[in-house]
Amino acid sequence: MLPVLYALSVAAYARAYAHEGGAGGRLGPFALRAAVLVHILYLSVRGVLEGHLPLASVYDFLSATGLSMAVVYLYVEAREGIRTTGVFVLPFVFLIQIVSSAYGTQTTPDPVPLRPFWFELHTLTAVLGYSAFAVSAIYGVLFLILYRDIKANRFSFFFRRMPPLEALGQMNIRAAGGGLVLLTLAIALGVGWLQRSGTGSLFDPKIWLTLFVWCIFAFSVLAYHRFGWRGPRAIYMSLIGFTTLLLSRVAVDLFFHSFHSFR
Amino acid sequence: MAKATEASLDFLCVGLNHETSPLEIRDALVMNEEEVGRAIHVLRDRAGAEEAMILSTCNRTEVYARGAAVADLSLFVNDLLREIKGMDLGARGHRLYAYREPDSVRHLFRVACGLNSQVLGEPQIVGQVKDALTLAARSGGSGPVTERLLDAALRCAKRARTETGIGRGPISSVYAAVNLAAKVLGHLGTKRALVIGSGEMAGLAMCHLVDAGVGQFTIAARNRGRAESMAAHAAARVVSLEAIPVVLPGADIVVCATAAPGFIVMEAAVRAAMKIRKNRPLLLLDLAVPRDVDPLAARLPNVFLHDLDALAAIVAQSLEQRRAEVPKVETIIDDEVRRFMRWYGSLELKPTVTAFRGHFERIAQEELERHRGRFRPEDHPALESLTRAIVQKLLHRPTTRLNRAGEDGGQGLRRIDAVRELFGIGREEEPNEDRDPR
Repeated sequence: MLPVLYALSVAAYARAYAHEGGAGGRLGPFALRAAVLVHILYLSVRGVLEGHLPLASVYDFLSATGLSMAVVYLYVEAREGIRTTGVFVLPFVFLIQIVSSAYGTQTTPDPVPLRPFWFELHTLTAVLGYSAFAVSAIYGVLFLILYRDIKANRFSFFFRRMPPLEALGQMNIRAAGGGLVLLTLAIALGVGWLQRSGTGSLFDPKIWLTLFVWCIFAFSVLAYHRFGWRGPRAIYMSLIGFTTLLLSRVAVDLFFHSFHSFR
Repeated sequence: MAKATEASLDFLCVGLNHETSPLEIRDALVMNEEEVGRAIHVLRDRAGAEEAMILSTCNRTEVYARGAAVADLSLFVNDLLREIKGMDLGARGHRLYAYREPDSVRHLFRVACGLNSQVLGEPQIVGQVKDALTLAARSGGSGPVTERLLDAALRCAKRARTETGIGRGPISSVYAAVNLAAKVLGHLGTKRALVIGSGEMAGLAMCHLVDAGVGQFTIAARNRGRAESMAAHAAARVVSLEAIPVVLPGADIVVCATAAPGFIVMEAAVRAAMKIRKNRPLLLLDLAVPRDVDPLAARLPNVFLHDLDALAAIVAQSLEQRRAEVPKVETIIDDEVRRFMRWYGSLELKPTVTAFRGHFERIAQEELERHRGRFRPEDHPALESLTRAIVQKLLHRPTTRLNRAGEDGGQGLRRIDAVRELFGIGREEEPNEDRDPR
């Protein structure tokens, strides 16, 4: 059902995008809010039935990532009042949910039983943080396309439907900034849990790669606010951060032995 | 009962516009306020028009008149223009177009929506149509039909603008430049502009930027006097052309519109400015021919350089989009013409009198039927006769007055309209509010 709801949202946003002159329509936000609500209900029911957050498998993680990307998008949309970018963000949410629904099982036993609440919070903030980085990356790519179009005097349909370049840059950096705060929380909670439980090592490759990603995003946000970086340079920085994040996750799962990887 | 005399409901439009006449003729026929007043008086006094309005702009001169008692209004308007403007169109072999309602109504609606404008969908015409009515009212030419017609035309224009894209997108290079600035820099309220040049184009660009919310201006120009008079409108600072490298780093938008034969803004100056600006975006709008800005500057990151060719491409795109919206606007016009003509048709006297009387007789009959059971059958004829007499007596005076409406011109039409409004005549589809719920 969730993929269908997200597909409907994508269709509504695509229709609003195609309708030139409209502010973006109301159907899309309505459909997306409905999908997010159902998704939260579904995960909550599963959480109650299983006794832990449904984040035990990679498919659960994907589903939660899709949901939090939708939530982050809704937040950015409400804050900026721009609805014409939904058509570029939500297809990713839809695809992630399709994969999760197609391959994930309904219930997954928790590999780490009796986890404290703040460990759950660590997972939750990490998922939200990664989703914010993903949304930031999408806005970054949109920025670069629009930037090149304007520089080359290409005033296409895309040019007409996109928000101002500066707004796209702000959406990119705000989403990255939000992601950075959440990732900081996730790291702090994770390290705290590790110290107490003693179940893993601080020298785990995933922790170090995550810290590396954190540094890239921290520099990106700092460069924007402190050094006045604007335009492609700032965008490339956040895209490097997101690419490093993706590659590090794949590398940890494939090439390193980590107490902290999804199998 | 007095014989009903119909007020003339012929509504005609006679005129010429940019499609039918060259600029020299249109220019020669533009009327000022006093001439419009004179023309309306002539139309009322000599042509017997009950209402008249003149729309005279640089693109059109059109006469709208109701109830003109002349065989050929085109000929009359031709004479009128010769008398007021000294131009004999007939002698020049020039013909005026003429429309009778509903085409005259449709024509005005098309004009108000900008479909009949030289620049498709341009918004100024709405104000010009409003002004035409104001002038007609001042000269005693307006009446219930023109007032209602103007309301309908303005509603039609508003619908066209909100429900279609006929007014969307920039249609001049300067406006395209301002749109582009908003597209690159977002909200312009906090941005600073440097205007290079003090000519007409520079002034126009500055006006558009002020309208778009830009609050801080610097003007760099060779002609200091002209630049200072331009600066007075926006509390701008004036500097010489030599100071451009000094003021360039502080600007977010640079508009260049000089007549200089070579480049005024060099790539090296832009590069140096970007360094000082910490690479914040800089928009260079080169409205000059030959160009003022070294094209090499476009290669610098975060520098957006657009010349007149680029802006013309945006304008052409907007016009193409507007053309695609014309069928939608025509549908709105059809709808509004139908609506107006329904109202216009309802002003005919005889159907109104018949409907007015019928309205009361129907109520009397309904009440009679409702209470018939309370009376003995032998009393029914007397009861019917009594009811009919009451209705006749009640309606005698209003019917007589209504029948005279035809002789009272505009006032009469207002009376007919008021009666229809008061008694809901012609609104059979609406719920009957007159019925006593008991």
